[in-house]
Amino acid sequence: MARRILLLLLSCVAIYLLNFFIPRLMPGDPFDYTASGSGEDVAVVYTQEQKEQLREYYGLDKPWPQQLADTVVRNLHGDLGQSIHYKRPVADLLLERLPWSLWMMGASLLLSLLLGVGLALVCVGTRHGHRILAPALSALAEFPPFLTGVLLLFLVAARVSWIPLSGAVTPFAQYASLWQQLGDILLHSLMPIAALTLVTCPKFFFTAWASFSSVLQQPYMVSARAKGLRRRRVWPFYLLANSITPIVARLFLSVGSAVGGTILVENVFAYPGLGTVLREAVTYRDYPMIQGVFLLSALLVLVSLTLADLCNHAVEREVEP
Amino acid sequence: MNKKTILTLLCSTTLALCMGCTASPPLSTPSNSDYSVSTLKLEGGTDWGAPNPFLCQSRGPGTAKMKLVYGSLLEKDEEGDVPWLAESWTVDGSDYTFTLFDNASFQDGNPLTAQDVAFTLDYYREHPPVSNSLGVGEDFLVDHYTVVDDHTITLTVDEPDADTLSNLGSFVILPQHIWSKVEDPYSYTGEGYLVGSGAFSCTQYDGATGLYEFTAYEGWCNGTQGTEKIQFIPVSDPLLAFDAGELDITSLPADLKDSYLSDPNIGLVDKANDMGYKLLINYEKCPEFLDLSFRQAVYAAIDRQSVVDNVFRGAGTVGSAGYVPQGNIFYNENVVQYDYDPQKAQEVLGDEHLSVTLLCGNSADDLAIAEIIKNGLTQAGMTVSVTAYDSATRDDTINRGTYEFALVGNGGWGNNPPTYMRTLFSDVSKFSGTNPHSMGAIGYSNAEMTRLAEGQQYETDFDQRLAMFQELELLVSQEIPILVIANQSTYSMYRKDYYDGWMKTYAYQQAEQNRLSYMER
Repeated sequence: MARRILLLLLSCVAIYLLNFFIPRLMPGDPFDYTASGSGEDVAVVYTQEQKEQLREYYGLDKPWPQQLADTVVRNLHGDLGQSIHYKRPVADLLLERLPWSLWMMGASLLLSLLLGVGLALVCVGTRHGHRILAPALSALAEFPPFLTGVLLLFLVAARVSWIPLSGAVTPFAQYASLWQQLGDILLHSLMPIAALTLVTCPKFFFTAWASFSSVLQQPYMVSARAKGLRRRRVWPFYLLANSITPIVARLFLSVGSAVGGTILVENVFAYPGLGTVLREAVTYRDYPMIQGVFLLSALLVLVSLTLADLCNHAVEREVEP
Repeated sequence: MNKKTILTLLCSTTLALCMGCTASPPLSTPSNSDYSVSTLKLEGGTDWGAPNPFLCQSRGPGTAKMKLVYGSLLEKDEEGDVPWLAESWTVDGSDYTFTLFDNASFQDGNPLTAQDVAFTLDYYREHPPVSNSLGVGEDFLVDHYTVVDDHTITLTVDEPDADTLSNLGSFVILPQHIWSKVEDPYSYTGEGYLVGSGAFSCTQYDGATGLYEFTAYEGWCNGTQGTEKIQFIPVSDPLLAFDAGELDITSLPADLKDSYLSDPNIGLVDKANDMGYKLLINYEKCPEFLDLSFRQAVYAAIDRQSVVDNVFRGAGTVGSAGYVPQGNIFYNENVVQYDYDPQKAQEVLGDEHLSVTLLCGNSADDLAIAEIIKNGLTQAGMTVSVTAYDSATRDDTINRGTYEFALVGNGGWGNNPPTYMRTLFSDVSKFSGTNPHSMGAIGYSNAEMTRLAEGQQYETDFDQRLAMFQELELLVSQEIPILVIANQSTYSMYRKDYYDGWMKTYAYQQAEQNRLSYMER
């Protein structure tokens, strides 16, 4: 256990350092970005003197070791710095946007889990179910999340008037009650969550199917069936209970890909999570913002991987003689 | 209660939440009040920063929102400078005297006086705003000022030029009673940080969702607003949103122009030749091209009409060799024309065995244009390899001067050409290492070009300036230190039966960003 915690801490330090250096090693400069299309003409080009003033204000005029030391001290005090692009504290921006991303990620993972496990049960409960489900879900697993999002947008949302095309809430809406507000949020997240669920559920399906198939071969399952126990008792108490650990491990392992998928899908549906903020932070070389988003995502994934690891460890202990 | 009943209840509740209880977006309806319409809805969803002079983003949509909330002394219309917070002005040598409207006020009700203008100048000298027409440090435009009375102030500059009046009229005025207590405006979001001096007040701003709402300020001193509210709402696809009535104006792709314009209620804002692509040659890395015949051969080798037809889908024109796009009031019709002539190009370049790397951005249009350039030059006998990067990396490579040929595309060519021609073609003023869009050619110099580019800047008589400027264009078209590939037109469409106030100024074509678009005129 101690070794695992030590590994986790070392990974955190390595990621922290990478997060600091990689944005600064990227070509480009936060004060030099000038590319523009028609409609967002460059209104401002900083002079050399202005750029020097701005560098000094954001502490980017110092050598890298000094910048790193300042960043570490600031972060230890809970300050993630000031975003250069958004001109606001990074922590405030993350706190504003994280709940939207967590909601989308959490809801889609939960739905994927339920759908994947449900379809796996259909496979093991019917003779020919797998012939259709397995190839269909294999194909679905290969779809990139953003493409699924675009297809849902044009094929579903654009044709069904009550499904919103974008955003997280109805702009400038006045809600009569909390339920109305929750309903609005739920409706706006319908398409993004559906897009993520569709691409994530095959993972749960195949894990659950493999796990169920393995458990079904166990003597206690044969014994249960021989005793004449009905399916409604065998499935939850024998099949699901004994298959659950790898499925839960898959849940934690899926957090990493869900973070990536969420970032892409948010951009398709103009959903106000971390995805849009990360895209702009990278485009404009906003070092503190890039560091903040990556740090948060990395911590989320690391904790999930550790939990998955613990689940697998539990399985190993169970099968040990 | 059995499981089926529970499941049915759960589904019904979810459906009820989704379908029955959701808030309806407000519809665009004509206003019953003093304004032409109640609300104008535009594409939002991007956080362009809080709309104040220190927190807004530096790009057009960011500064435009800020300028709705904060007023400057002057504004621009189709012809030139017009009153905004200043009712009138006089110019006497280096002295520019502005008289404010008697009833000018800030959005918290405090009067806006000449002392506020003076305070703003002092404050900007210490804390330059994001969009800064005054310069910084020793280059600060205003040498000193004199507050004549509560409504009159005289600003004195060191060296007036043709743009001085516009620059002095462009900085936005801050309320002294709020900002005099603020030491760090770049992080200040306390009381009054959005109290402006403009025609609209910011009534909602949510950076996370990119939502903005601006409401007409009833105490505005100079005319009536055309709409009571301006809302920027997030959309996934602007065309779908326009069709669904969620937007009142949006961009129109060139391919769809005819189908939308067949509806007589759809109006069009034509941002003619506003986007442009040019080929930068680094003459320090490629000294062979200091030979004019080589540059002419490069022009002859590139099928620029193909860029217009295939990449811009017909929406645009072949670039003028004199740099200023066709249709602009500064465009000189007598500039040298370079036709596509692959045979002539091959005659000049065919035996030279020249090899170059062409740097470009990684957008679809950039790559398509780079491919056309590469094909033309390869056919002429050159060896060309294309290297594509994201915009920031491309800009950085150009700023550091470590390229040979570079393709650069940007908007704003339809704006005021004199403001960018000097930084491109004057040896003493040209940008180097700061901005690829208005950066001069590295390793090229021309004394006559410099004389004309500098001279037009200091010529305050418009007709004489125009004549000098067009002479500069002609010389540029003869020497072609920078090769303009093509200009692209972009369009916005709107429902003219609902609101028809969209306008372009003489210096800015983005109707959605011009504050006069939102005023009754």
